[in-house]
Amino acid sequence: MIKFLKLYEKIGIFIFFVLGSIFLSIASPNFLRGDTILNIVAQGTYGAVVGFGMTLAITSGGFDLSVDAVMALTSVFISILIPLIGIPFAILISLIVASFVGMVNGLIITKLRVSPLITTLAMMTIIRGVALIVAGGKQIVIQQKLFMEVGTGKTLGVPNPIYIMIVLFAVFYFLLYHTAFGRHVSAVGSNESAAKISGLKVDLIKIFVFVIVSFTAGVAGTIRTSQTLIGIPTMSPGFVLVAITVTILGGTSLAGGRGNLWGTLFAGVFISMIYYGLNLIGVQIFYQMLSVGIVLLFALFIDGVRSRYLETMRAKGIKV
Amino acid sequence: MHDRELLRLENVTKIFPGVVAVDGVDFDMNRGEVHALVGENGAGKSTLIKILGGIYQPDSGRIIFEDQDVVFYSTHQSQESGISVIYQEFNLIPDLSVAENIFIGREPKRILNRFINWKKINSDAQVVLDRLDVQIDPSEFISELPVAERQMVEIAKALSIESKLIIMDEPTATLTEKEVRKLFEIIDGLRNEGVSIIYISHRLEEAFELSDRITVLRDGKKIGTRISANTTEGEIIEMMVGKVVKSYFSGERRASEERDVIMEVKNYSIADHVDDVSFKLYKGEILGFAGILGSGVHHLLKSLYGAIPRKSGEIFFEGKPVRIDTVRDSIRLGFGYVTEDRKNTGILPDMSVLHNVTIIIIKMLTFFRGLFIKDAREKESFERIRGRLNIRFTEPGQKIIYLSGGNQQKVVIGRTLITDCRVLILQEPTRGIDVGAKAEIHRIMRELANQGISIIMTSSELPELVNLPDRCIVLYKGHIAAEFTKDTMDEEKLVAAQIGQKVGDISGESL
Amino acid sequence: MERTRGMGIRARIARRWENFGLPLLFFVLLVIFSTLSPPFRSAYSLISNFRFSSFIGIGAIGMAFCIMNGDFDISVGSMLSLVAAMGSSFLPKIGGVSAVLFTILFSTFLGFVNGVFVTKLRIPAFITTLGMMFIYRSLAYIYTNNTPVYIENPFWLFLGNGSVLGVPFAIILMLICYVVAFLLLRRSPFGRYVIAVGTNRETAMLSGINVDRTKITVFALVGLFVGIASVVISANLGSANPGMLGQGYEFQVITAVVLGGTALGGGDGNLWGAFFAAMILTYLKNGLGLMQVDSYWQFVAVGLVLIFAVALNRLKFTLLGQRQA
Repeated sequence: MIKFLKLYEKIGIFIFFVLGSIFLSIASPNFLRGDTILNIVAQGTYGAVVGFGMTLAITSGGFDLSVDAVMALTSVFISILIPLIGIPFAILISLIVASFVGMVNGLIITKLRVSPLITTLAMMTIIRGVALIVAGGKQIVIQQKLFMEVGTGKTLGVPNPIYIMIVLFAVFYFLLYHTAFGRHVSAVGSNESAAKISGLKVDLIKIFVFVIVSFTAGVAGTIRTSQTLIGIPTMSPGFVLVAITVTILGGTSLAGGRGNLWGTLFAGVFISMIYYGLNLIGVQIFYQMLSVGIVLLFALFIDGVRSRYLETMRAKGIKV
Repeated sequence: MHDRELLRLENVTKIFPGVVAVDGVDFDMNRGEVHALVGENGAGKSTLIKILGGIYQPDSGRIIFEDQDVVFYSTHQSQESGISVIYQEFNLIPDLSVAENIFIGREPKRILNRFINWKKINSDAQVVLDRLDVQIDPSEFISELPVAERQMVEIAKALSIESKLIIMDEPTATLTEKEVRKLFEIIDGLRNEGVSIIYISHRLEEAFELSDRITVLRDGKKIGTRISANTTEGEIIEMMVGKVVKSYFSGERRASEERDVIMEVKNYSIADHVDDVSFKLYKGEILGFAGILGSGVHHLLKSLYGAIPRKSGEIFFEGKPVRIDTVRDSIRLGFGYVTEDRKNTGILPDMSVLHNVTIIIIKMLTFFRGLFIKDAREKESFERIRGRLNIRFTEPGQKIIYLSGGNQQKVVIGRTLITDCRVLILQEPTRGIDVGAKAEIHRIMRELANQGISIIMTSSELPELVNLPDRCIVLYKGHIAAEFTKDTMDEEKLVAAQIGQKVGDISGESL
Repeated sequence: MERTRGMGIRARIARRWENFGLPLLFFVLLVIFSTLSPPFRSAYSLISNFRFSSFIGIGAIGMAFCIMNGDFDISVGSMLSLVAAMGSSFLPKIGGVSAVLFTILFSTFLGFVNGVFVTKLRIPAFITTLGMMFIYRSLAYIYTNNTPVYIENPFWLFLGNGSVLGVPFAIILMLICYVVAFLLLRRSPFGRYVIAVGTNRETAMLSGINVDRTKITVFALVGLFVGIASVVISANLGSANPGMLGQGYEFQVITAVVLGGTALGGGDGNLWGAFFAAMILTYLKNGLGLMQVDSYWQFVAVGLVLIFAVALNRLKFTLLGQRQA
């Protein structure tokens, strides 16, 4: 039992994933079709993409509540810039803007020593306001249909967002597990004072992390915008919940230091599976939000019970 | 052994508000020397090593390292110069591997200097680990390693940066006999390679076995340095203890056995800390508990109060078996508790003196069973305690953090007294308090005992342990090592028992 | 000695600010906006602005307790929306008084649920309440089928819009709430426990305080005041809109508490400070609105105020040598 509970962090999500797949394939004959699966995975890409960023943030011991606002900001900027400077530059500039927001977050947290909760909570509101101001309070339609290719186009039969997700996954994977920077991020989350004493530049690392999180939010915002061809300043309120749920469900520990990227990837797809399942039942969109919230609480509940159990065992003198 | 001098401290002093931590200390180290640093708690050892480690800077005096005057302004600077400190708590990253911890910040890279070269980092780590002759897999995570192996990793870390001086703070506190042996082998090996080691420990037999010289600190001053081969444990203990100041109020002490037993503890065990301890507590006595780091004293007392869980054991209160699982259980029975860490777990920092004292019974000083506080009754209860303990402050509403240490301590004690407790547990009752206030608190403790309250106290200050309690029980590595009554009390035996010596013979034979 | 002298002056200023700063700021704002914008000057607009501040002001009470206790509850906006929607939907069936009562009791219950999760799951409150935030919001959507509930019941409307002897009832309500909260905080054992747990959880535990029970009660209190605020605001607006109502509420309320001088790290706090801060924030928003400033700038302004307020708080605590948040 104890062994299982310790392994849970690594493999818990896979168990859910497998169970979910089995359940869905029984519930719906359509499920096992190629394009259904591709569709589900494609739907899960934004959650996964922002999830990667959030995983990095939580691994470093912090988190970022402003991601959905950054998505909206990106959306607005893209829709305004495309007519002016063309698609590729519009995307580039918008991503830079997104990263800039992350830098501001990082600076406030490290230099002004304001907690990540308050900083990103405040930023969330500020950025939403900025998005609304820049967009003049309206939704902006994008005329260039070519832009749709990003979010809805297919290459070799596979939806483009999936490629984006895979590329980002590869980048994050190598970053977190194979570069000094990534290892230092884990170090900061695992034991910040030891990291500091060992000479790591903790502040700089944190700032970079926040830049990266906002960048992923920018990417997700780009994909979403390209699917609707509308720049929406009020885009996806509440998306931060999905990002955090995906991260925690995937097995990344809130304590920091142990990012589980594979878990986040699968959790992103899993959430999409839940949406699919809800669709089968024919419920409204609001049930999606509800279910994600419940999933989060459920994941936290299991985590809580798990650590309580291990703690009791430890007190009894049993080796844990 | 090389005779080149590596390090010299001249007249180094470090003062903190209210206490002179290090007082004009001279100290020197040679290359390839193992030098033991011993002294009671508060003698100044940890401040000294923090100065060498770059965490503090001396207020006066010189540090000469490798013939150069230096001051270390950061841990990094100290490490760059060739000094590594292995603190008691370790500075390792649990979620990173052994190799990553050893080379943190200096990881070997490949492919455009971007990616970590796992092969190289692991093999480089293996080289260092081989030097220490330990079987540790460099790719294992620190969180998976037992404490002894983590210590090896810290040493490996120090070696990998070619440290010339390694400082170890209480390295054997949590090690088994076998692991201690291994550590000694390694230290010997290091010495032969020309690495110098400062070894801080309470366990004198270790100091004697390992070191070339021993320096004794007491109250921030250096008492003396001896060549280990030319001195005895007795001499060292005498230097550590000094002249025991008998200015503490001792008063009349009855033999404990004449009184009633108020509490009996049987076969008490706490996972990893306390093993099968049994003892009796008599009414109106002061019972002292003594033990060095790792003895289990603090855990035992915390657990008796209900703050940490036990593994097994029974408690009898006034003859009847009782269960103490939470703090409220023990408070209900009539226990009171004062922690050793006044700042963090003793006072309620943001609250006033008045509130700090009355918080524990405030529910009973109300109208409507818990709704509105009766100001008058609260002030009355508070006044009684204030008078009894002679707490000094400007006004009751003053925030407690503005009081002196001694008065803060009285407030915390007052909080327990206000519940009319029968058993009072005091951990380090006079830590960080000036001499005058110390004497006052001792007087108060004796008065309380005479009034029938049983007091259990711990202290790492020898004079306190020797003079105040009626009895003293010494724990060592979780077991009871010795028990003293006021007749058999003896400073040197007390210290000896704490460090694991068989009491009755202190000329060099150990447990 | 020189350094302590200089510190002394700055520390003395910090002390003065602690006591008089906010009311001062409030009056300054009043003067600025009155001069800059004619509509603001009339006594009527002054009073009607007062009325709106009870929305944030009442909610800030519960949040103040929560923050003093060392936690956050970011689900309050969604909670507000859900209970207002549900409560007002019952108006035709059970009448004004019962519906209001239900709303308040229901939101207290939701707060209680929050508290249970936070204490029993042992997860940082903000994540738990983050999850609850979305659960409540989506329940609000589902329950009302995403349509606003229009309120016509006179009793309910009176609570938000009515006046007694020329004084808006909402203000009276807010003052009553503050007085009750003040009594609870300063004159009851519970208030002491809240601060003790917030200032040092372990010490509080060692002093025999039931930390879990205190926390759950605090969260229930948050719910209680949210319920009252929800009645007021929905009465002001004449409807309960599941999507729009309460958006960003948690954020405004936390800002009010922090601006009012309560430290984020837990411990003693400033209830009346929150009161003034709520008024200042409301004036800021309305003042900007009346000056024809884009309403979206309000978001930016309030966000900046929060960050500014927290940074200011830290400065104050450093100067006064007290605990850091």
